Amino acid sequence: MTAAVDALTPDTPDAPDSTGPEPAEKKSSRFTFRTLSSGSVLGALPFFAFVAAFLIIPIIANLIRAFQDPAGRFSVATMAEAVGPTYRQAFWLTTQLSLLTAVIGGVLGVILAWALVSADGPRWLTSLVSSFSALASQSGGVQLAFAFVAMLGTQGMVTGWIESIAPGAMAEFSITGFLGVTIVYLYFQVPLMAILMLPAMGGVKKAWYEAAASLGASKFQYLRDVAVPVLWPSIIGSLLLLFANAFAAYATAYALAGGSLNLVPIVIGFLISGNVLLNPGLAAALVTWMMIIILAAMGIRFLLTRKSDQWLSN
Amino acid sequence: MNHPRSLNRPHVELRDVVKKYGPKTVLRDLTLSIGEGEMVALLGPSGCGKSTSLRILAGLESADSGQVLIGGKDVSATPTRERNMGIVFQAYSLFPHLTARDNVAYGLRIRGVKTAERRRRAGELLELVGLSEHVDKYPNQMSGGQQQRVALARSLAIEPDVLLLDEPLSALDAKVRGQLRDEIRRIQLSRGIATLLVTHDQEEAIIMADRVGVMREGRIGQIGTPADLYGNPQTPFIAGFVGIVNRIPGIVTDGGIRVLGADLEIVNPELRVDAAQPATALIRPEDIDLAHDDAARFKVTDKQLRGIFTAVMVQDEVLEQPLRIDLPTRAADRFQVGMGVQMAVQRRDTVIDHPTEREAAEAQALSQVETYR
Amino acid sequence: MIDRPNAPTVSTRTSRSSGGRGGNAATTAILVVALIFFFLPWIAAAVFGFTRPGEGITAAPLLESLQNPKALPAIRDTLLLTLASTLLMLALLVPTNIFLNLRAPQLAKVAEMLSVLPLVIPAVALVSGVSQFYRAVAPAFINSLWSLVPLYVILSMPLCYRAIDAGVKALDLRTLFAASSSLGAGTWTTLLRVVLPNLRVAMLSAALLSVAMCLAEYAMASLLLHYTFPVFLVEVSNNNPRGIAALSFITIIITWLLLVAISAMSRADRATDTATDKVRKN
Repeated sequence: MTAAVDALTPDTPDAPDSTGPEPAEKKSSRFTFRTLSSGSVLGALPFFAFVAAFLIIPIIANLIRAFQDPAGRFSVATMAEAVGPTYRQAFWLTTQLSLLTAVIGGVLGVILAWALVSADGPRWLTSLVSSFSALASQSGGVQLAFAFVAMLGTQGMVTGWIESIAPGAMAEFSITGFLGVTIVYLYFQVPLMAILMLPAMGGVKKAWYEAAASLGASKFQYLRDVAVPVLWPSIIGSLLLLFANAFAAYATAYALAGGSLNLVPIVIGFLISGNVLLNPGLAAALVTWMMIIILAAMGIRFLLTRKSDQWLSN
Repeated sequence: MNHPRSLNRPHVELRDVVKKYGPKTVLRDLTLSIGEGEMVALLGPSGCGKSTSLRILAGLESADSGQVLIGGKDVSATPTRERNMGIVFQAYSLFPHLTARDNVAYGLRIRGVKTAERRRRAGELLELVGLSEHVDKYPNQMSGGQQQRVALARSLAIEPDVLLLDEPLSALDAKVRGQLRDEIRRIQLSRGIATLLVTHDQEEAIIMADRVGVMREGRIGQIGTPADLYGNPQTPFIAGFVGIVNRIPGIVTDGGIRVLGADLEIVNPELRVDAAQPATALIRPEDIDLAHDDAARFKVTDKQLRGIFTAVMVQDEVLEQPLRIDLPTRAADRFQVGMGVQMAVQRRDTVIDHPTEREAAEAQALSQVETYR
Repeated sequence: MIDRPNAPTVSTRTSRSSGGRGGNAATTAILVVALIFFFLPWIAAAVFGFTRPGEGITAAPLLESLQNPKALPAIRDTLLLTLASTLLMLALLVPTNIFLNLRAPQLAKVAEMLSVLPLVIPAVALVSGVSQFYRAVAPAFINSLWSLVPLYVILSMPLCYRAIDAGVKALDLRTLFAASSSLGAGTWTTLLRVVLPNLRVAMLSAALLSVAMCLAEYAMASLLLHYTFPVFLVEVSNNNPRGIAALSFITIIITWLLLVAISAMSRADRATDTATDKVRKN
């Protein structure tokens, strides 16, 4: 299951030039236990209990197991083994896949986001692409894998088209290989990037470009001095999310490549389901490393976008 | 581009500019000129084309036909960045990631001015607009009024030939608006820059500009000094837009219109109302004088103190709406609510408008009355 | 008679960038290309799944795959899981969100942070943790198919919580409750008759996300050794790739139809809003 997005179906963005009164005061919301009444805790109890039981506790259990040796004593050996020589290749391959799909997905996604924000095209088209982007960004899963097999597999529809134009071009290509999986991942990475960048790019005011022009700046200078500096934290932040998203993906990769692709989630899956050796301690350690990587990416993202979100709101 | 100031003669012109958006014509043969050091305001309701005119002058939009001239040269084909114009937008035009100083210095940076020099000049300009304590603040740390001051300083940094102000005060509080209004005018006068001000606020236009053009549906209805526009409006729309008018029904005669017992010339005979037909005269509150007369038809119903003048509301049975007469407060003190008053129009001419059904009926009713004297 | 013109408020510019730089054509081209790429794999799935070399268009692969004795139970189980998970998600998130937004705004922030947690904890991680804990504590639970229900709710939480939260925040809860109680309605009546109808679109959007997720969820089901529809698809994919492609196509069509239905409903809602506004203004 691919990781989720920040916004649901985004509204078709309006013209970025907004006019309004002074920026609102930031509401101070300091959370103190004093402000809780017993009633409020009670009302929220089902939710928190549910989350505790099915999310928090399993994660803690996983963490504990990761720092135990097979006998159950505290040890970092398992964690060390998880990044040892046997598994290093998996981390490296997963990182490569995630980086590749993040960067390519990022570039294409920004282009798509630009097209959506420009609002130059027909309104129905923008709205349609917008809704489908939201849906496509969530489509990672087995059905997507099989659809791509139908499209680019050995008997695939598009494979046939390409073969008829340039015979032999598709001979080396396999949808179940690294490149094939990359292409399939892009199906949800590109719209995910677009959706993540929509709020930021919608926040770029038209008046900035016009002001820069009046001050003598060319389009390139405007991009260099205003647009890119304002947007790059959002871009890097979104790339990080795409990276984390790809790193954690399981279903799509498994449906395409089964066990032949040495990715970290696949390896974890094998260890859990006992396909190789039932070694839940190692699985727990691998999971913990994976979560550390993802947490690091999200942490950097949070720090980056805190400042630029202010610039792009209003 | 090099614009040594001593050679500047920024005579700015828009000639016969036409602009269409799809089927809609936004500007119809718009012609406007701004003299050196002059501030001209374009005043009108939203949708009248005033902002479009400014944007065409700036080069942000291109006209379908017509010319834009600066200093006698046709710049219609010149892109915005080469027109050397300062623009202040309505809101949110500051670069959010730069401090006030860096915002102001940006134009100088583009022109290759060295860092120390441009920072110094930016500091000077920020001092000019009263923000010397805020030079290192970011836009989101400043109020709307402060942001607009920075925007003004930024536009002045490049020593523009023309200054364009696109509703610069509309997004601000009333109080801040008043302060900033005076400052902008003061700076504009001291620098002698030809300026175009676009606004929907008639008070702003009247107070700030040397000349005001009232726009409606893509055309300038009338352009002149504030006094011209206020004292001699040529159409009902302008009369009502640039100040308050009383709508007083009367009957058209051979030479003009008879209203409130007075015969007035018609300023806008092109409206074409036949003699003996009703029409509505638009008369300003201060153009009517009052005299105490208990036998008169009109009675004082209310007095509203407005400072040095008082608005005296006067009602007659026939008229649906009261009339408003503005008198100096000391003079108004002589009149009390309930008193009968005679009215005397202090002008020789008036703008007329087509009467509404109600007004037409009122005109007929009033004409039956013998006399107002 | 006094005549004063309308002083319009701050002007808004609807930007049609007529300084177009060819933007219009490029934008449209990009959007069209994007749309084609979104649809293409599924069209391929339909083509692949509903044809056979030499036979033309046929439903044979689809039917053969369904004739597999494991097919229908798997489909049934997935549908039941989808239904149960979606209902549980709504039953858990909607009252909680309303309650938090109304009574405990600070706790609401904590809840929001928690709801985003599954983003950082991918499915395989959750399986690992759940496996660890519940196999030791309550093995019967983890062995039952129904253990997937709460886990699916957790997985869908980041998106669904946001969708519902957005819908609730768009309502002025305090005013609604105050107005309703001044007319004599109790809390529950207000909830059922006033608040929920206004949350229709938000709830349906959340439900759509939940359904889309459940129909395609593979990691947890397979690693916890349950046999759901996606698990079936993967298992049979080598034997009957065409049939599986056909089934994949059908799955996505269901999701699209739901999306269209919800969009239509939200447009109808907005039309009602503008209509009521018009009536109110007159």
